[in-house]
Amino acid sequence: MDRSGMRQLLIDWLDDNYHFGEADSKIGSDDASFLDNGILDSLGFVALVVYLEDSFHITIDRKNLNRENFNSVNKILDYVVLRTGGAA
Amino acid sequence: MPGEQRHWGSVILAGLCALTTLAAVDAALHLVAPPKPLLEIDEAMDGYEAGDPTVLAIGSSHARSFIAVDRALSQRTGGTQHILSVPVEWGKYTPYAWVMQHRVKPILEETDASGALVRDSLRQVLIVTEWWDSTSLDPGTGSITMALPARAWQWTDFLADALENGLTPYNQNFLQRIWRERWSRSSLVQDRGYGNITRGIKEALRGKDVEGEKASYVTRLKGWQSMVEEGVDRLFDPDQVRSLEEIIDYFKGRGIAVTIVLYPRMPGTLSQKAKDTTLRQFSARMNAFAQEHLVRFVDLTLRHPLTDDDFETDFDHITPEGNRRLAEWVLDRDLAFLVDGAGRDTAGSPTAGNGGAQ
Amino acid sequence: MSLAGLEFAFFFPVVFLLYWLGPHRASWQNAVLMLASAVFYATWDMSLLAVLAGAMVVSFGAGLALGAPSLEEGPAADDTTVRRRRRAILAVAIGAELGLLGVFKYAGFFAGSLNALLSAAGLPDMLPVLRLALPLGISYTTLIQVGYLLEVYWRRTPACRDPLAYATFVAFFPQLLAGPIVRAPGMLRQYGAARLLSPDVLASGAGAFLLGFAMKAFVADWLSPRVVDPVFANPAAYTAGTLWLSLLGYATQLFCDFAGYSLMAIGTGRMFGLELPENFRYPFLSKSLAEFWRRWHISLNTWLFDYLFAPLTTGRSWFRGRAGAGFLVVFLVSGLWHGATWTFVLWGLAHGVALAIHHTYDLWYKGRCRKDRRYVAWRKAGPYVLASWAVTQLFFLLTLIPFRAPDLSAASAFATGLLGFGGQSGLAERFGLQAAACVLFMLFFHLLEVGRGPALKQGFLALPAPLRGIVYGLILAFLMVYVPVGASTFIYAQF
Repeated sequence: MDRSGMRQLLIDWLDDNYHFGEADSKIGSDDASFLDNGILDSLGFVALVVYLEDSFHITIDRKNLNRENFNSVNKILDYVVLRTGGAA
Repeated sequence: MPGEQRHWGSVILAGLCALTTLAAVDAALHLVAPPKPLLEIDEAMDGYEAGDPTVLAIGSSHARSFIAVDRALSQRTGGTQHILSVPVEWGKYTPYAWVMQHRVKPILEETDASGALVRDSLRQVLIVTEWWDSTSLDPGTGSITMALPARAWQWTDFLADALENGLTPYNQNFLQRIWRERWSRSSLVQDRGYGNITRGIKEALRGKDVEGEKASYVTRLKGWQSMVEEGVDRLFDPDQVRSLEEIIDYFKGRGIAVTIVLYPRMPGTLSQKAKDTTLRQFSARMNAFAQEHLVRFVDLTLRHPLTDDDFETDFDHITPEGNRRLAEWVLDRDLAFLVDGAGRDTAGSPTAGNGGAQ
Repeated sequence: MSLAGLEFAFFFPVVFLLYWLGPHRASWQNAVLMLASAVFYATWDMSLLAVLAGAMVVSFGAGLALGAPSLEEGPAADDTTVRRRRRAILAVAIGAELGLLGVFKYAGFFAGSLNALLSAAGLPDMLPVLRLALPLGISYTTLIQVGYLLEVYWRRTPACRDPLAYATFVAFFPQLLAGPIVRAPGMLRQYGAARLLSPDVLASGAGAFLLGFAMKAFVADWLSPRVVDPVFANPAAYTAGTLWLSLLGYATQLFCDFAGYSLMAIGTGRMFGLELPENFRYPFLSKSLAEFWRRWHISLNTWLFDYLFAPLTTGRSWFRGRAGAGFLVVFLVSGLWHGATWTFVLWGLAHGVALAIHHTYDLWYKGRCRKDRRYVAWRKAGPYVLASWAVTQLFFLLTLIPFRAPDLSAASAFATGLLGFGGQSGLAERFGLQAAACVLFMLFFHLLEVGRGPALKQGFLALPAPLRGIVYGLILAFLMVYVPVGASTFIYAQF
């Protein structure tokens, strides 16, 4: 799957679980912080991690699993792309 | 931090304005609740070190009445006789003994290089007391011993206690005192725990609550009377008596005459029952105690020139005007020996005393 | 010593001057803070200072071992033996930390409970019930150190190599009694460099300290002995109205006591140029329990979330993806952490179950939202928001009963009393006005955070400095008039 496909999956997940059709407009910039802009709360992060791991068959390293590193569309996609073997 | 970046200038300016406002409010509050500087142990001991008194008056807050007696005595003797008051607020004999051991003794026994006493004028000690001083510590609380950290300790005493027990509500009373002393001219600090400011402001706004005061007077009077009446069961607690003996023995051992002075009580607050039980028994037993220990005994409990108007609203302390009258009166009579400039211990002649509590 | 005690007014200026007038080096600043912390600790219990020191040596050493170059990243980092060794070091160190906490805090509880169980079965007691003095702050320092070990183990934070900085990080005196629970990533960096004194930080530190003091000394310490303690001591005697008021009073007291002390700690930290983590963020505005726990005792709840909930629900165990079960575990742990009694277990259980139920409901509601967007709009509408707020706050209020009650029977007496099956006593009438003022103060404090409140605050801060100073001075004077006196303070005679 390419990066834009992954992005769509992420947005869909946010829409399905949190923003119901408004995820894209709420995010604005792909570099915007999820926590600072109310995109996702800490419980949401945990759910997202499980979703990403299960969907892409990856394991997200604890080292990277903190609020600063895993906190925007771009940061999340960068990591997933890296772990899935640079499928972009 | 909300708001834009601040600079030292603005922070310091705001701080200074806050302090100035605080000082202005404090000064204005002097009108409703002026701080009342009271003589405490520290100041008394400073006075002892600086001067060389001929008489010490040790007691609870009652000992402060002897500031007026000292003034009258100095006048009559041209300054040759001088009483130093040593008031241990809310004390009993155990705190008096502690003050004697830890505060008075080092000054009294101080010697110069040649081994001579630095101060050798002390001839008389008055133990100013009443029945309450002889009772056991308040059951349960033991709060009475707080008089020591709160009034008589020094930093070394505090640090020793804190090192042994940690900071406790008991030894924290020392810090309270230091804090209050540091801000002795501040109404805001001095009023802490007394509520005179709020009372004063309320009175200024609404006028005196005469009815309320009357009611409170009646309730307080009842409480006071029953306290005195019930005191009869607690007189002459062995620990307190031991401490009193310790004080007497020490001064007599140094050739200093001791007089036990029973402090005046407010006539209108004493029920017949109180006079017949607690006061009479205390007077009689203290008189016997004085004879046994060969010290003078002066009983002013009921035999004094004061009327109810000469007492403060707490029923316990005498007003400044009352103290002046009392001073002249006692120096004419029971304490006239002070005017004569008594020599060393006249032990064996416990004269001036008479059982006035009958 | 407590930050709210008069002794602190003597202690703080000395430490402050030593800290800022000495050499401008991290080592000097940390040494001053460490010495001050040791003195602070010793005023509570000199003998237990060694326990804390021992725990710090273990964690510091384990941190070094976990971060040792041979075990750190590099070609060997993924090697199985290295991984095993790191895991073993982590297990031993965390075991030691938790073991210490267990012995001091929980040994008595578990032995007592087991004995009760045995005697109920007609068997003799098996275990001696230990009642050890709990080393001050050990509940906090344990979490701080376990968090540090996990951070280093997960390689999110480099191991601290400066023992002085580490000790100060763990035992900095303002956080010792009641948190906030500091985290390695945010704090160790601060202790590693020399701090600068800035007017901004000093002013906001002093402000936070004073606000915290007012909350603690004027609100919490006033309410506790008058409105809360007597009622909880004998709930069966009081009317339903009194019990409700007392419960509201307790919520106010608890918040002002805890958030107040946290603010004092944060303010003190700032005056030393250190930023401790936020601990309370207007919890009574929360519209769901999950939000409540993100606003109340934040440093504990983020700790539990990051080091317990997240690993549990994203790991490979049965808990993976099961947030409800995760809540139950986390809040049982939280309950036990608060205190080793069954009332706290009950409290934790109630919150765990409620969060799990709410989570299930949330999933169901989201399902409706996906099908019908009107559900999304309803959720944002006034009545739904108001109802969520009310249910959340009421639930929190009710769970304060086991949290505060001395035992389970007192808790149940309180609960039945609330429904009107209680006694006839009320509180003294004269408490009414001041108790109301306390609750209003807390409401006002929260309201400054909604609607036009923040703009009002900004407006005040934009006033000229002299004007602000006058307002501060008037507030201080007002507070000084009403400053409470400790129960055992010697107050006698004005004549």
